Parts: sequence; C-alpha cells; structure tokens
Amino acid sequence: MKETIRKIAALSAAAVLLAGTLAGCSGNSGSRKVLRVGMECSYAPYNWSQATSANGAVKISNSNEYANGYDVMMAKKIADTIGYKLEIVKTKWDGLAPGVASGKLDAVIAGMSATADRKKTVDFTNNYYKATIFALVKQGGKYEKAKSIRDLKGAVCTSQQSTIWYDLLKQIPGARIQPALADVTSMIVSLQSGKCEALLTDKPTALAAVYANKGLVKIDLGSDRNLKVPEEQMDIGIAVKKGNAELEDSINRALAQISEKDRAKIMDEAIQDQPLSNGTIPQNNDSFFYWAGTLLHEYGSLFLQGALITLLLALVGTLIGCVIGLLVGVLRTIPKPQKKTNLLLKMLYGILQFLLAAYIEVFRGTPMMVQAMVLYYGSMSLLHFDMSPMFAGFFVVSINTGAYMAESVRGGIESIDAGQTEAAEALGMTHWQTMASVVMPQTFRVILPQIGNNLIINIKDTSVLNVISVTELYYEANSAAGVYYRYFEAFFLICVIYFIMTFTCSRLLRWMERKIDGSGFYTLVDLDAMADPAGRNPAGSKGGMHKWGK
Amino acid sequence: MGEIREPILQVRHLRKQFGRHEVLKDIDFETYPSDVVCIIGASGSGKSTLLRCINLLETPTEGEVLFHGRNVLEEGKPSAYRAKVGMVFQSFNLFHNMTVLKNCMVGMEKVLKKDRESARETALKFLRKVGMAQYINAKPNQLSGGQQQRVAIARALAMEPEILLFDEPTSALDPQMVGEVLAVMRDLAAEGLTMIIVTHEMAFARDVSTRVVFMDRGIIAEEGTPQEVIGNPKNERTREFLSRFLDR
Repeated sequence: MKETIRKIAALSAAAVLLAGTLAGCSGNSGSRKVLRVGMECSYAPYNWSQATSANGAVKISNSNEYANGYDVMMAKKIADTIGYKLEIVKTKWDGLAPGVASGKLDAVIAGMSATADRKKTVDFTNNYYKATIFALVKQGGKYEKAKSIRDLKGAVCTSQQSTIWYDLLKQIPGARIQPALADVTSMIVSLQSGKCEALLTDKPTALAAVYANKGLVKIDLGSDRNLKVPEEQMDIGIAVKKGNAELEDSINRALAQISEKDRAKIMDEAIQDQPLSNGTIPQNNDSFFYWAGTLLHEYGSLFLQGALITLLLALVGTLIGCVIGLLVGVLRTIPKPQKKTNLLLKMLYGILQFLLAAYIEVFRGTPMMVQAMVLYYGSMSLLHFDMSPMFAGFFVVSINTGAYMAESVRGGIESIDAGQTEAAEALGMTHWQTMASVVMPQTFRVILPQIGNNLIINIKDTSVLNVISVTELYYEANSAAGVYYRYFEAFFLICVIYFIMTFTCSRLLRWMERKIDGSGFYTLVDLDAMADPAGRNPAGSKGGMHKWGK
Repeated sequence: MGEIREPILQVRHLRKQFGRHEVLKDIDFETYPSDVVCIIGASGSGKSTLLRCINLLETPTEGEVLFHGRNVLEEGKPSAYRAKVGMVFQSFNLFHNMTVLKNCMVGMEKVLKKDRESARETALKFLRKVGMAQYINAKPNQLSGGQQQRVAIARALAMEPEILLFDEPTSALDPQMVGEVLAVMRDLAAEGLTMIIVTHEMAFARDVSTRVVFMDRGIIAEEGTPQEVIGNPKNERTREFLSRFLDR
C-alpha cells in the first residue's frame, strides 16, 4: 500500500498541469482545487471512520477522525489522477445526494448504486465497482448449506430499508419478508439473534460482515440465473451534480486507468482493514411543492397509517404508563414503618422501596431507543421469545412513561395538604379509602398537565422505535423519502403531521382540565324554610354568582 | 366531677415526645358525658398535641387513652374508635374535591356503611343545624372561612360521635366569622353534646364550658369549673396567662 501511495505521489506532481487546466476551465483561479467527496464513513468496507491514519486513511474535514475504505482509496486515486486535493466530508447517507445536488459536495463516493431513480436527481460516472448480490445466513441454521436463491425457500428474511436488496427478497420462493431495517448493523443483529433467517446484501457488505462476525455464512448469488438483478443495480457509481460534465468526464478518465483486477485488490484490502458497518439511502431536484405533493400523493396513505400507529403507541403507552405510575407513585408514598413494626415487614418495605427506586432510575436514566433494542433483540437471543416490534414498542413506551409518571404522582400526592388526610383519618377512613376518595382525585387533577406532557413526548419520541422496525410515522417517512431521495420534503411533511397530533392532544387535555375543574359558581338550594340556628349568616361568599334555585 | 358517672374518655399518664422534645409530661385527664371541657393555655403548652393524641393522629410515647374503659392504643385498628370521636380542625380541612354535601356524606358512606339516601338525609339534617344547607352544591374553596368551619362541624356531627374534639376552631377566622362558628358551638353545648375544645376564646370558655383545663409547658397546671379557673385562678401561671386576655 505504501508503494501505491508513493506512485500516486509521483503521479500527482505530473497531474498539477492537468489540474491547472481544469481549474482554468471551471473559471477558478489560483491554488490547487479541492475535491470535496461525501461519504457516510460508516459503511464498511466502502467507507468507515477510524481514530488513526493507519492503512493510508485520510483525515475527515472538521474532525479528528480518519476515513478509510474502498471509497477512500478510490477517491485518493481519482483525486491524484485529476490533480485535485482530496477532502473527505462525513455526511449521513440521507444527506449525500442532497449534498451533491446542492453543491455542498463535489462528488459522492459512498457505495451508491447508480439506479434510474437516483439518476433523476444526480449524474453518475461509470461504475467504480460492480457489486453482485450475496445472501447471508446463520451458521448451523436451517439454510447453512444453501447455494442458490431456491435453496432459501420459505426463509424469514429482511434487508435494508429502501435498497434494491430489499426488493430482491420477493424473488426468494415463499419468502416470509419482514419489515426492512434501517442499516446493515441492525440486519446483522437481527440475523444473529434469530429474528430472521436470511439477508440479501451486496458482495462487499457480505464479505465484510462474514469477515467481522463469527457464525455467519455468505452465499454468492452473483451467477444464480434464478435471481434477476437489473444491471444498473449492481453498478456502484460516483454521483456528481447534474450537468457537471467536466468533472464527470475527468473522473471517468481516471477510472479507466484502474483495472478490474486493481479494484478487486483494493476491495479485498478494504475488507480486511474494515472495522464494521452501517448505512441507509437519499437524493433531489425541482420544487419543494412538487415533491411534497408527489410524496403525499404516493405515500399519503402510508403516512396516515404511520401516524395512526404513532398515535396508538403514544395513547396506549401513556395510558398504561399512567396506571404503572399511579401504582408505583402510591407505593412510594407508603409511610416508613415505625420502629415497633416487626423486622420482616420492615425488610419487605425496604426491598419494595429499593426496587421501585431502581425501576424509576433505570428507565428514566437510559434512552428509550436503547431500551427498545435491548428488549427486542435481547428477548430473542436470551429468552428465545420472539416479540413483535409493536409489542416491544408498547412495552417500552409504557414502562418509560410509568417511570416518569411515578415521580409526578409522588409529587402530586405530596402536594395535597396533609390536613385533608388527617381529616379523613379522623372520620375513621382507612388509608386506602382516604387515598381513593380524597387524595387520588386531587392528585389526578394536579398531574393532568404532566400526563399531557407525557402524551406529547410519546407522540414525538416513538419515532426512535424505527430502530426495531416499528412502522410508525418516522419510519414511513424515511422509507418514502428513501425512494425519491426527497428527505427535506418528507420530513417537513411529517413535522406538520406530528404538530397536528400534538397540538390536538394538548387542546383536548386543556378541555379536560376545565371539565374537571367544573364551573366557577354554585347554586344555592332553598331546601325549606327551616330555621338557621346560626342565624346571622349573610349569603356572601367568594363563590361568585349565586342562583336561587327552587 | 363529684358525680358517680362513668367517664367516656380517660387519659392516663400520657407522655408525648417529638425527638428529644417532651411536649406532654404525664397528663391525667377525663371527660364525662355532656361535659364541655375547654383547654386553655399559651401556644406550645401542648394543648393541640393532647387533642391529637386523644384522636390518635399522634401516637403517644407512653400512657393510656381509655374510651369507655378500654385502651384504644392496644386495639388494632383505630377506625371504629375515630368514627365515635369527631374532630374539627383549625384549618377546616374540608375535602377540596367534593361538594359541601359530599364532604358530609363520605364518612357515613365509607366508614359507617350507610346507604346514600340515609347518608344524604343525615348530612342535610346537620347542615341545616349549622345553617349551611343552602350551600350543599358549593365546593369548599368557594366558601368563606366561617362557612367552611360550619361545614366541617356538620361533617363531624354527621358521624354522630360521642365526643367532639375542637382544635382551635376559630383561630383561623376573622372576628366577624368567629361569632357564627361559636354560635353553632353554643347550640351544641346546650343540646348536651360532649365536647373537648382547645380555644383562645376566654369569654366562650367562661360562659359555655362545664370545666376548664389550663395547660402549661406540657402539664395540666390547673383544672376546675370556669368560675374557679377563670374567675379565681390559684396558680400563678394561670393568673399571668389570663391577665393578658383581661387587659384587652
């Protein structure tokens, strides 16, 4: 590799001339031109980030990390050949195509296949890699010995959201296709945990996955005649801004100098050097309204379904969470047993209070997204309990809300004047009667705004459940956006949908509060003319309006 | 006191300590049917604590509270006892989530297990007695302090207790409203209801009570008829305490 670098260095000196010419052509003057190349830096073996410059890694701009991988090596070769200075810009997958379309990036070299859809918004160079399709299965599993797409018959399978790989699943006979996952990492976790039995992906991803994960078996489907893959889908190209023919041509000339054999060698090196993967999709063109309209037209019903699932998760989760919160909150306010109480009771009390406090601290103190992952995959790999994403979603949202509500309830109970509790006790009411008739109804009113907060937070935060493939609103928007590479429009649309949902809920809750508070005045009742023993009571009160009923 | 009657309530060698602070030191005290006992004394002398110990809102550190001769501290659940010993608080303590009527009904329904109709009738009867029957639909925070306290009295009466405890029932009221509450209490005394009243209203204690107890620094310093204790106090501390009221 060092040898290569030296050669490139020599070449680059000769290329200064060419660079000068290019700079002149594009109207730029002065210093050597910079080629800003976008990639995720988290899509091994194409590209990844690392802490050191080992194996010829390139520093990522505005960061202390270094980028490496097949894409970085190719980018270096290309930049040197055409005499540009290479700058690697780490960009989320979703931001790559918009980046190049908007001119923030000069090129995208990120393992992106040159599909017809993407060609609507960006131009692609000739392929810089040809990625054939591979399947991944688990070692020791049912499909361990599979050699072809037919051998995968009836497999529970999935792939990455908005990829050709996911579309190809349909060609597996009798495939039981699961919802698509956000990235390669999730796919591999899913396969390892036993959630699915087969994955479709491309050659580099498969090689990298098998190289980095024990217990996975790769199946080369590249020459399987029963798998029909459009040629364009296997072409991994370099995206440039639409109409930037100059750059496209010079990159193509540079690519022509790198033989298939060299490419295979670079990929092999990358696969060996890579740490491991992650990824998604993007791209754009035209007016906002056109695309917003198109998305609504094509995916409006999916957005609506997603919104309903989001609402369902938030409502049910908040409701169950409130029940949990009430229970835990009430238990947390049980007074400490007095000194005379027997030891067993005191110990039970101590254990209960410890468990409740632990529950609250753990679930308030860790991200809901992480809890969802732990629960969803953990239940499968540890307990062999195949939880549906929706069930895991309800569970996580409820348990989270419960932890927050428990503290609100405790605060609510403590805010109720102790005098009322004493008065109830003085009447002979038991602790539970006092709670049920006097304290809890008032606590409920006090915590109602908190319930509202939680409902609204849940409507928004259920978006993280896309990590376990819950098909809520964010997930649907992400999928839709991935098809057209119109992220801004899709997310703007769901912003509006989210806002409509939260605003409606907050208004409804205000209305409920007013309903509970009742009217500000009361009606005097003229029961009968029986004497008023106290006698001197003027009708005055702070109650406001009086109506004299019959 | 000389009568040969069974006391309803007896307190024997009662001590109450909060941390290291001894609030009640060896209190002996008894109440007979139709007694109206007024407990007077300076703030911090232990009057309210004594009342709260009687009702078991505070657990005595030592001593006995006998109700018809049975030690209530040794009985498991205080509910049945508390239902027979009513309490009226300085700060009214009405249930803010309930109407006036519901405030008076809830104890009868939950503790005495009365049905709704008879609870309602009893509640109305006592609300009429305190002159608050017109206000059955009002919520506590819509009423004046005096009105709230009269409802609180009706709430306690509705349980038809054998003794009614009053913990400074007029201290949180402005002078105008004090009158309406005291008037209700006078009527109850006249009807022969047994009452123990912690109060700063010396005129009321003098005119209405059958017995006055003067407490000083956790002990009963002087005890007797109103004429004896208020009219002709023997204890130096009692005289000193009363002089502050007479000056006014």
